[in-house]
Amino acid sequence: MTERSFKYLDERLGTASLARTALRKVFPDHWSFLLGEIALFSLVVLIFTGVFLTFFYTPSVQEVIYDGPYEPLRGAHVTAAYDSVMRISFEVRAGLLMRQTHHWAALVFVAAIVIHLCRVFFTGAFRRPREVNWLVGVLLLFLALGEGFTGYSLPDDLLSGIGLRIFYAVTLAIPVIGTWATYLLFGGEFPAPDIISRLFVFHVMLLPALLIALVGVHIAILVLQKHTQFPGHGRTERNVVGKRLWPEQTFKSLSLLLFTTAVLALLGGLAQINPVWQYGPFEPFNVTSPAQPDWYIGFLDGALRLGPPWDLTLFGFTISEVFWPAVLFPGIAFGILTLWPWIERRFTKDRAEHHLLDRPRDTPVRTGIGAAGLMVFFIMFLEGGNDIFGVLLNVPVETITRILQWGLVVAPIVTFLVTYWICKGLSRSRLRPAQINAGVRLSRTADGGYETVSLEPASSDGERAPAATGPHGE
Amino acid sequence: MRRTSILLGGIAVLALLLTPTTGTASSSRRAAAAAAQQQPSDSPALNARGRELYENACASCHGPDPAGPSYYPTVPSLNDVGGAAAVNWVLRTGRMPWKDNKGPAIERGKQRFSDEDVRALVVYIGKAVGDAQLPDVDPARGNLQRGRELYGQACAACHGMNGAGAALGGENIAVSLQDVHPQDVAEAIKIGPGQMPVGGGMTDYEFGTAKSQQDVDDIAAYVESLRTDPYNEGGAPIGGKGPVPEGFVAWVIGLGLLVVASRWIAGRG
Repeated sequence: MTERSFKYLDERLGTASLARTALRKVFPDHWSFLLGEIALFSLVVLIFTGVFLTFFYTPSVQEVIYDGPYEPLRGAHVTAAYDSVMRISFEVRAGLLMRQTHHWAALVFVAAIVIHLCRVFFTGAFRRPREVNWLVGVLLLFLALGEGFTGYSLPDDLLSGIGLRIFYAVTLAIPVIGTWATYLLFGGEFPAPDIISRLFVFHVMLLPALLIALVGVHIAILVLQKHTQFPGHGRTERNVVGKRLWPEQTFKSLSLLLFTTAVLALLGGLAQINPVWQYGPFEPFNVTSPAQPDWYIGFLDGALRLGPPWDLTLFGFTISEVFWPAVLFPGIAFGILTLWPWIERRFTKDRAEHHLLDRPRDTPVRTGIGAAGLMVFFIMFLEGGNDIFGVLLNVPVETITRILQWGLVVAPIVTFLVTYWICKGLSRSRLRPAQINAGVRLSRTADGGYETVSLEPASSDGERAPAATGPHGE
Repeated sequence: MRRTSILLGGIAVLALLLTPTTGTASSSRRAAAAAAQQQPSDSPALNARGRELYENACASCHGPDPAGPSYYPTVPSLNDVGGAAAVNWVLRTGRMPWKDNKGPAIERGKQRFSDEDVRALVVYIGKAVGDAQLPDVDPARGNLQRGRELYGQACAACHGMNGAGAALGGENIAVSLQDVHPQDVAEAIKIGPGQMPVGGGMTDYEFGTAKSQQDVDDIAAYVESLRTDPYNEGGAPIGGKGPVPEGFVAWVIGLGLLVVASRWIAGRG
């Protein structure tokens, strides 16, 4: 039966040879290559839980009176969106589990993307011929941030409303087109009636469609170009050492999918996230403290809190103090991130193809720059939670802000220098495996004799060539 | 085998971290507060006891006469702080006597005087400064829904909608309201301690009027619902301080476990 259907398909679509090639594709074994898969499988969980939530969510700001089981809100005027999220949380069977799992999956999704990006960056996996996939990856990060922010705003609770208010102000701060763009996006003055239904379309249609399509492209490019690998015994620029897609890699990925689902469902069931009933519905005249966005937008909130109060009027246009931290800084930071493969090439003049990865310690400048960049985002993230860390550490928020303002100037430089110094030290030390003699390989000659081929350790530019050491055994 | 145990250890840590904690407020403090809730009866013996306690424990800073000036310019005269309500509030919440005599912020602590002694001090100082009345409060009389609305407008900006509290700038901290007694709420609204405005931000609050009594009862009903919180659904609240601790859990427990799983799944390579 299976054989017949395979045959049927093969005769029409030529699937057999395709499948043979695909199933034989070799994946290297290092655990860090699974970080991208964690992101992929979190996305799978996001899609399934998200579809469930869509069944019950109402994307509307129409006013209704809450009459559900949550006592403190009964009789309150709320939007239909908030009302439906309350229904999902307290009345729909498994609704709260699905909502929380969805939210946890979103946090882990972006975290996995970031750590996957770090792996790609620090090992130089973005170098030729993989620049295009780097671009696709950065775009995926943007889309994930967009998905996260729109999703955070959909429940229309007090906390998400505060977030939207800030987003409104940030959009207004874009020079020249700010006001116009804000009105176009929100459909009027804040809180505009159209925004929730528009965010909904972004969150469940436009962004996911793009996201899924680009994930497809991301993986297709990965399959087309062979996988990168760390230098090591028997690994060259021309081969890939690892496990085939079928059966080993398939089962590894499958078990990681199950692990991801399990961890996210456990968090969704055991750890409370975004208790919207506590925050209450959004009222423009109310605020709640402490107020933070989800972690991946935290740097932007922190940038706003750190930013200098500089207003500027140029040719009749006002550039607001929000512009520098919330428009200019992320614009430059993400611009550098996007163009990194080309920026690096300008300085290294390295135009060669690379399939063997760098060990981060062997490229101290790049590793240092990456660490310094992460430090910038980390400082901004800390500032985004200054009121929480203030209570936690019993330090006034002003002190935290002052320290982090200086930190923003000093810490990246110190981070770069320390990282550079550590990398240099590690490269010199005996720990560097590339300098360990990789041993010899026996090779049979055409006339039946044997010769040993010694394997040279990888040089820093990744070139490796087996060097014949002469015939043996004659 | 070693990786298996790491993984199991990770799951155990997860389970431990996420175990919901119940009732952080000590029941004895609540009982003490309930006892002190009644208006103090004015017996001469109690008054004398209060005077003795005052002279032993308070006079060295606040001055020999509660109604007079204090000894130190940085110490408020008890004439200005809000009478019996303030005395009851600082003593029962352990803010006084001052723990280490340093720093401008007086933090919550354990009640150091016995309930009887607190009552004696409240009676003595209250009489001396001419404001012996403790606010009356009963969450059961309050309207929970209206309380939530009032709380949202007057209290949430500092204490948070779920009462978790936050830093306010300077040395000021809006304390967590998740474990306070209704009497504390009513007294704080009356006296406006620290950065908190008198009337707790309600513009038409006037102590002793029927409308304010209703407002205080309503807010107390909502704060009481935060403390007893029968709606704390969805598992461990991880601090109840929103997205920052949530992000921490996502990175350390969520991604952490998955990275451990990845190392377990992948071969050495």
